[in-house]
Amino acid sequence: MATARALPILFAHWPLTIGGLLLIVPSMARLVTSNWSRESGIHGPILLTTGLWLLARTMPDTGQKLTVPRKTFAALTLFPTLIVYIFGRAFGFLSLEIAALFGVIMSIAALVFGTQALRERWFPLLYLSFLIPLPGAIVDTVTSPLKIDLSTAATGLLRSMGYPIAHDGVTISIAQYQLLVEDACSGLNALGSLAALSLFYIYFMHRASWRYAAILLIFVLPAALIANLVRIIALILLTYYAGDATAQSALHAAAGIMTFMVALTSIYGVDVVLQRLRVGL
Amino acid sequence: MTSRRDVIVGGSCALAACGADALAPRQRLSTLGKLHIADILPHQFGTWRTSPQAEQTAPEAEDGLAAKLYSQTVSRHYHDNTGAQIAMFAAYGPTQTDAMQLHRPEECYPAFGYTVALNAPVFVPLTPGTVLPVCQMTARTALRTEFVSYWARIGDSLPVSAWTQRRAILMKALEGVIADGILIRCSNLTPHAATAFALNNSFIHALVIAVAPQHRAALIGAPLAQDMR
Repeated sequence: MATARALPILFAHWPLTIGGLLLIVPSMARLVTSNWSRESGIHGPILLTTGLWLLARTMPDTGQKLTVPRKTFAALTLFPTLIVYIFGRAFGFLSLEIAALFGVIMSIAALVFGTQALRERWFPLLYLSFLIPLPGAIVDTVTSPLKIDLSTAATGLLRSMGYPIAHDGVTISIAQYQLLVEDACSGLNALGSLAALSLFYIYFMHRASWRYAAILLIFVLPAALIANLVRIIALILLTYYAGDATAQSALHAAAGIMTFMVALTSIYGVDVVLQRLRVGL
Repeated sequence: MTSRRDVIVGGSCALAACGADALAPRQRLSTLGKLHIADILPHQFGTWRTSPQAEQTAPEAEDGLAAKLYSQTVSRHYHDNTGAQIAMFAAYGPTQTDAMQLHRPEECYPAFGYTVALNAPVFVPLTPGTVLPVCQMTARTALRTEFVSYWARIGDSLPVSAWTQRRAILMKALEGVIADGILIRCSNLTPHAATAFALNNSFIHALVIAVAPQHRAALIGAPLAQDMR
């Protein structure tokens, strides 16, 4: 068990463990309450558990040190990140706080295990860095044009199938109902999380062949967009056939899981097609 | 064996945690007290009065998110004896932080599919010697054009851009204060831009003048309210 191997290390470096927990526990509590409870951070728990699991798999069998720790490097990064952390935590900049926390943990890990150990675990660490929430203003600027394109696509598709549908901006009218594309002011649903989960799949299936994985990576964003399109269409159709109230209650509960499944299925589909093509070459 | 390095680094982390919590703003600034903004904003002033019908001419504040950001919202329609109509929306948020701040119309309207053109802010005269900085925005969709005038108050300041709004929040936080904030937005569908904005301005002027002097601080901040007296 990785946990059993980790415990002696945590005990041996007890001042680091206590200091670290004083930073991690309140910050994670804030992340959970203000980010994970929103749609944009709904995949947070899955991301954290799978990320930690990936990391645990890389724990060495014995507790011996692999390389000589780089004290200067770690000290150089530790104190600046701590200062950024203080600023972010004190004045409520969650993105800054979590990013700096990540930096502090990396610095301490480098101090204890050496930078080589971090380099060897670059994928799980990169994957876990997706837990850092993007600032809302940036997310909005990037995703609000996409959201309007998605509404246009969804309406166009359904109109060509004969549904009585029209849209103006992100307001979609179908029959007697009016829908606003979800959370107009708070970004496209979980684009970052979907990208991270697709990365997880790629890492698992194609770790050996990074050139192929990089090609697959190009399809991550389209897959996330398709997932959101499917979600919008499902919401429209459910409203049309079952009424407003049903659509609101039924779909919202399942929304997170559904987008996640559609995104992964699309990536899987692309993977299968690409592999066929490669075999054919 | 516990190394000195571990103690120094662990101690620095503990210090950072305590330092951050000590620096965090705690004092709440409320200009509204126990009042509701609906009670402060008069239903009838100058030549204006509220219309009974609640027709919708502006996008409603987003579901869910609005409830988190604002503790009070008021949406009204006013008309005057010449037939001019103005839609007014006011939103009050008791705690302005980076994550939970007023959403400015120039950031919100594009998310609803409007194409937005933001003009330079104008200064609406209140009493002789006092002016209110007001933002002006033209919002268009394929079906409609709306002329929107608004101001936002964070604590005592009246930021005219998203950037100055963030700075106002941070400046208050550095003083140890969590400020409250209010956004007052009015719009009309008069086809001509200059006429439309002039109408908004005269409405804003009449509105602020009509608010009881002791309640003006909640709308325009204490310093400007003081200057008006």
